[in-house]
Amino acid sequence: MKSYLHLKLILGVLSLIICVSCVKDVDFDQAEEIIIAPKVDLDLVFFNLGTDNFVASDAGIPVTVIRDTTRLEFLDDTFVRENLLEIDFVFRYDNSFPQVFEHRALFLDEEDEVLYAVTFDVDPSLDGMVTTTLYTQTVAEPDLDAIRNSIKMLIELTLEPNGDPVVGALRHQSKALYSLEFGDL
Amino acid sequence: MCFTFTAIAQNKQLLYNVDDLPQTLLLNPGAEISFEKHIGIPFFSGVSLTVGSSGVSVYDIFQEGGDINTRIATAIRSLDKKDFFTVNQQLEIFSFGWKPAFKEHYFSVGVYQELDAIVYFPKDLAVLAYEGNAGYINTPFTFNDLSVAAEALTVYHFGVSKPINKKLRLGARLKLYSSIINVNSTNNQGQFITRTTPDGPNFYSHEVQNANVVANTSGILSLTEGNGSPITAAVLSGNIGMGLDVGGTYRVNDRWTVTASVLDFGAVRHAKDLRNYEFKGDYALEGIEFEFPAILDGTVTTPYWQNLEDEIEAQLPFKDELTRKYVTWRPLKVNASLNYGFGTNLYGDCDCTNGGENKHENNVGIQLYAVKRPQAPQTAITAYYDRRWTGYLRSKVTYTADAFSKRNVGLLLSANINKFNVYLAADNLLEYPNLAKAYNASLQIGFQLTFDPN
Repeated sequence: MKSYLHLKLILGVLSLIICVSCVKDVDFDQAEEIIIAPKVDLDLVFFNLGTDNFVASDAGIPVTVIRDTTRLEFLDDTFVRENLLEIDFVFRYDNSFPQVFEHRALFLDEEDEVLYAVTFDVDPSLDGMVTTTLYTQTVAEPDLDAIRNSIKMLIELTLEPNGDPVVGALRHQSKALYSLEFGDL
Repeated sequence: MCFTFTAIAQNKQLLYNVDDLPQTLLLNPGAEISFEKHIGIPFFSGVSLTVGSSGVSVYDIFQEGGDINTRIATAIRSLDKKDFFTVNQQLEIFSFGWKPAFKEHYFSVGVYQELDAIVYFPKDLAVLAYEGNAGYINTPFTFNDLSVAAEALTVYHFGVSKPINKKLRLGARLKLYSSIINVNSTNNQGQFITRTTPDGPNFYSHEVQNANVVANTSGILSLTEGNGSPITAAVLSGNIGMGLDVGGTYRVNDRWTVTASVLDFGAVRHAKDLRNYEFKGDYALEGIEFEFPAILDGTVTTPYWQNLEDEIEAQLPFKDELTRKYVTWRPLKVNASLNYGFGTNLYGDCDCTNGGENKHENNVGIQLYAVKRPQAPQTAITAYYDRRWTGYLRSKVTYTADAFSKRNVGLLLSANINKFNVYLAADNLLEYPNLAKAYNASLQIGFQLTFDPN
């Protein structure tokens, strides 16, 4: 008889554990409020140009416009398109040409239609010294859609002749800081 | 020497050294036992579940009020690469044991199913995913933190224990492992860093250095593709291993007893239903270098992006179709205890019929436990008080040192109703009023028949 009391005791303790144990003071609905907001800093493009890039070899006539293009497939990525909040582009030029250059970074769609442009002047060298131009452009809503819908980036440099010899070097560096935000996990 | 004590799955401190429970033989095959035969109730003789998190509780993240994102950020900062999340579940499918007539041996046989998983907190990769690299220029994110070991397996076992002399009893258990599912990604290496490069071609150099990340799986592909049955795999899969438990009990004198055991010294060879993933190599990205080819001549532009993808694929290939055989070692466990018995000797002060054995009404002692885990061994220390209230009821109260809660109190109750035994064990009892705050909780329950020699 005593042994059955022991069984009741164990069942009682089990019931007590089940009754006492609970999960309280927590709110799992907060999961919907979870936001992950990483900032990703990535190089974009770079190049080094010299006199040869701006002077036609045969006649020594200045070439005033040069351009090159790359696809940026990640802009077409659903992950990026849906979660991109802001982009900070940073462009840097180190210029020893005595001329001003007009920089244009054009964001194009598949049909090469320009959706967004970043334009600024690259300062000329003074007395042959390297002049640094640093330009930052922040793209946020509502302009961000133009970036999201782009798939290519074209950089176009226009030399602005000023009568001085076209001699020097031009170094370009660029990067982009992508502010992303993931909700609805 | 530095010891850390953490909440550890698989530590069944409440069942260890409890000589009227057959489960104690699974923790020490050379344990003293007080029965001469046992038969487990199929599927109910041993059910255990342990869930643990070494560094963060559910409450830490989901408590009411405040900003959950702030708490997540705080948790990511406070957790380190040694923190882990773990689950261990065992289900005895059947078990029985017997002492042959006129012999001192005890044989035990059984089958149990086990699920064991440990996921270390990949601190660096979590920070990279949560915050990005922008705030961590020149800071490496190591892949070494990525460490996961998870397995579900069926264990067939046969054990024997035997008194060597009046003081020493030794035992061993042979195990056959049949792996149902295995996921193993440990010993990963390499790092990702974004470095500033004042003399380089661009602002940064994004570098993957010495990457060697490997994940091995078995038993998953057939389940996900619907080609296999988990029941068939559970009975006997093609991924088989062998293991050994050994242990012993040494009676120092009438009151002091020392025990020790080594469990799961064994490995599983995974040869079927395999899928391995591998990410190896080095790569440095500094952006895309524009070449400004001869302009306005109608030539196709340089496919920079495609070139970049090809280059990355060549230097940093991700292989996801591999089917390599591999071996996993089971988590080796070590138990040890020092026991002091006092109070009434339930065998009587001088009972020549039992060889002078002692069965004290009260026992106190210390138990040590260690388990080998992928990153480092984990250890625990337990103090206990074990009381036989009558011939039918027994209790054991444990306090397990835990670096996080400092209040892991456990309770075992075991009752015998004629030959029917039922036991219930739970630890971290002080957290039961609000399990959300618990870092670790475990529950063990079982029903079986035990046959007392008397």
